[in-house]
Amino acid sequence: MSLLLTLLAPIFATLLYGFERVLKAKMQRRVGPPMLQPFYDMFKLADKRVFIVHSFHAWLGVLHFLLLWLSIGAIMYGVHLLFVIFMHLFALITLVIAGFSVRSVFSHVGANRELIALVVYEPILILIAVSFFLSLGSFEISQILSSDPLIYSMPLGFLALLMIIPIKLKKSPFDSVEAHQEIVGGVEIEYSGLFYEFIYGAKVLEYVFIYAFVFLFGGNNYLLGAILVALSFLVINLVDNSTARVKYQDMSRIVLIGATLLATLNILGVLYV
Amino acid sequence: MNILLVSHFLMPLFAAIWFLFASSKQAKQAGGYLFLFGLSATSLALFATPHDIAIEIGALAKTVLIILDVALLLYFAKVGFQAKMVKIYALALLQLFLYTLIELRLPEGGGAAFVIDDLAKVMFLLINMVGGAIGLFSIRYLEEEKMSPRRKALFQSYLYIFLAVMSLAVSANSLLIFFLCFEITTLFSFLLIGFRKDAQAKHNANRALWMNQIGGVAILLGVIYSIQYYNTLYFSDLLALANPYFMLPFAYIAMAAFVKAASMPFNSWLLGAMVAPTPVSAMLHSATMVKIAPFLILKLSPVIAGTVLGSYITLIGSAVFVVGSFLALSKDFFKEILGLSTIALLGLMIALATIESAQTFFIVTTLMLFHGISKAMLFLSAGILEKEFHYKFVNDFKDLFTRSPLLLTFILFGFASLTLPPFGVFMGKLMAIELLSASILENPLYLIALVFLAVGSTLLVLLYFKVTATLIAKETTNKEKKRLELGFSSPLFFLLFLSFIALFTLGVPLVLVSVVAVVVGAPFIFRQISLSFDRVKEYACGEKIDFVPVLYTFDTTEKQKQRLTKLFIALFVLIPFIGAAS
Repeated sequence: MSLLLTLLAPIFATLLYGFERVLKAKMQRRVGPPMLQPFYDMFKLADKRVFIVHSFHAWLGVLHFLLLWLSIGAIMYGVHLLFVIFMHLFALITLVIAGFSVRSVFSHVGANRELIALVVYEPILILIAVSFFLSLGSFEISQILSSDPLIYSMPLGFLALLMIIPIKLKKSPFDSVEAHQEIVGGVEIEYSGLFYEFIYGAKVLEYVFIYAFVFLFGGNNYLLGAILVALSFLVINLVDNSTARVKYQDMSRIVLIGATLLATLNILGVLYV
Repeated sequence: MNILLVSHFLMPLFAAIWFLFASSKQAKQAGGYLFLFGLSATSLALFATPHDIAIEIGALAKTVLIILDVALLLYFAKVGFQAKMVKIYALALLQLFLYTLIELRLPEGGGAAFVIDDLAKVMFLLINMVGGAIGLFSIRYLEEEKMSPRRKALFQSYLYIFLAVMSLAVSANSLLIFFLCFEITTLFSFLLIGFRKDAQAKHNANRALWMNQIGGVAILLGVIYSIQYYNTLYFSDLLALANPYFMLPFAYIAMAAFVKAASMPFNSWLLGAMVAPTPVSAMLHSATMVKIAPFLILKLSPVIAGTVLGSYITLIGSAVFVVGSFLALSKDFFKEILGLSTIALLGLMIALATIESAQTFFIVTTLMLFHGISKAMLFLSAGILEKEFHYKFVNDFKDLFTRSPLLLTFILFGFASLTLPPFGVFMGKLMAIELLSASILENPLYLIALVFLAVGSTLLVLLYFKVTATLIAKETTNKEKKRLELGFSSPLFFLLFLSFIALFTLGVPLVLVSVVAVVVGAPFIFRQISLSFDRVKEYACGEKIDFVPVLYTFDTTEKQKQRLTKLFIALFVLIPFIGAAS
């Protein structure tokens, strides 16, 4: 089962991404692409002639995808939550190094912003993991999924997580990491064809990663977990459609102070309420 | 057993003599390898011995120690008078006064002068294996240094004497012997920092001297109070007798630890040490000197863990961790970046060492060991950069990707081993998060330490990997590629080997180790596969943009820095009051 889920994760993620594009289009009263559009994109990308800047750069793109997939596999296997978070960090670092390894202004700016975003959301993920531990006495994901729903005891933690989802999924208002109009996609810019496909795949895998985190708040009530995921999905897209991008400095200030405070209060809440 | 012990303690001294007289290159190289493997062998053998070893010394030896102590303090005073620095000689004379006071009211009853316990055995591994690798490295390094052969030999033997003194310091059971070793490490750091003899070196050496003497004063005060409250001079008795109402001696000893760890406000002495030849920095940061701090706190951990003093030390340590990592973000000088991150990580180790748990010992020793290995690797790489490529500032490192991919791999590996799974420092941090989370239930104050830890460790990730921006920026260069010579690369390979081997002691799953092996090895394989792909130039939106890779810096204003310094001075001065109050 875990293996199956892990293997199917990219396909599921791509479907989710396709659905999101449909939903977004509906919100903007556009017709939008068909739901299978991301698959068509991928077939097209696979068909293109392969261009690379240099082999190290191309390899890091592949590695980024593989490590991200590995960390999602770790979630599916129900291992230590902190391990998952740090495997994910490892995956992100490969992307950052890739971004720095080419002579491109946009790629460098993107990689720098990727690092800053990392500093912003990583502590929040850790603090949320700790609050899971404090309420359950374990960091194991399998334990979290067999306990009572946690959303009631730690709503502030859920809010903190909601604050960082836009950063992770590169959604407005916190999408300065990728910012197509100003830095042309950041670290993605130097990838094309087959290797861009890996970056594309990694991007959609992030959806599974972060929404799996949301799902954990449902505990053993999988229906509740699914509802939470659906709700946050909706909220994130609404916010994405209705806000403007903030500068990355403001983003780091807002999230680092706001979400860290929320996550810390959440821990205090778990301890004393 | 005795032969093992004697050879363990005498080997570094023997090495020191060897390098004083070895004149040919071959003899030096042979000595370097020989002592690295010899020291590794004896420390591994000692590590494998199951029980503690106690050693007593006779009356004659005690007299010799007194003479050494007095001579050392008088020498410090003399240095102070020569340099006309009040701070140095006043502190030296103050120590002399306190020392006389102690000798006059020495408590009855003896004890073992040295006890080699589990902690000392782990420290031996760190000191001798990492220190030995640095010793080997410095042979090749010194060939590039402009110095007379006489001074080179002296430098090399200082390094080995330093190792011997460190081995003694970590096995000392008598507080006075520990004090003597503490002061000798101060002496050698003073000599080594000032080794280049220019104005800057002298200035920084003097600063290191007076700052470290504050630590000496703190230890002596600790001894005085331990005589007053517990009537003993020995760690073992102190730990056995300790009473939570008389924490003052421990508070003073902890102050000494903060000084040695170069925690804020004392960070300037360790950062000043980088004017010295790079093996000195490598030595001070990884295997010796600063590691006394977490060692000392860990040694006292059974009595201070769980007390008010203990939680206070945890708070200061974790604050140092965050502030140190943050300050490093604004630096451009490679060694300074590494130095501040050392200070930060030492703060973390100190913070963790005072938490009451069965795991504390394992976590802190893991952090110490792996931090030592990684930092030694990074500093040795910094030494190679300086001598072979003439790079000191991170913003200059622009063609390393093409000039020496191997050295780049070492540096990246060093960064990764400090931040990413599955390496030791990372594992230490992971366990630290677990430990702190479990401790929050008993003492909510640890929540602050936990937040500091979470924020600080991501700041370190940002720090290390922003440096890669210029490190791997592929500059088209016409300078030729350089092969690393064996004299430079063999200590690095040794450390790389150590960090992989030591993983198994942590029980890291083999899957993760192999993942990392793939990550490290695959680019070279992939290069062959990708030969058939077409290459393309980077995209620039059709504009002509001159590309200059630079680092993002995150500057702090002078005012903020002063405020931070004041805050840390206040925190530091409060330690004995907290100790007295608890």
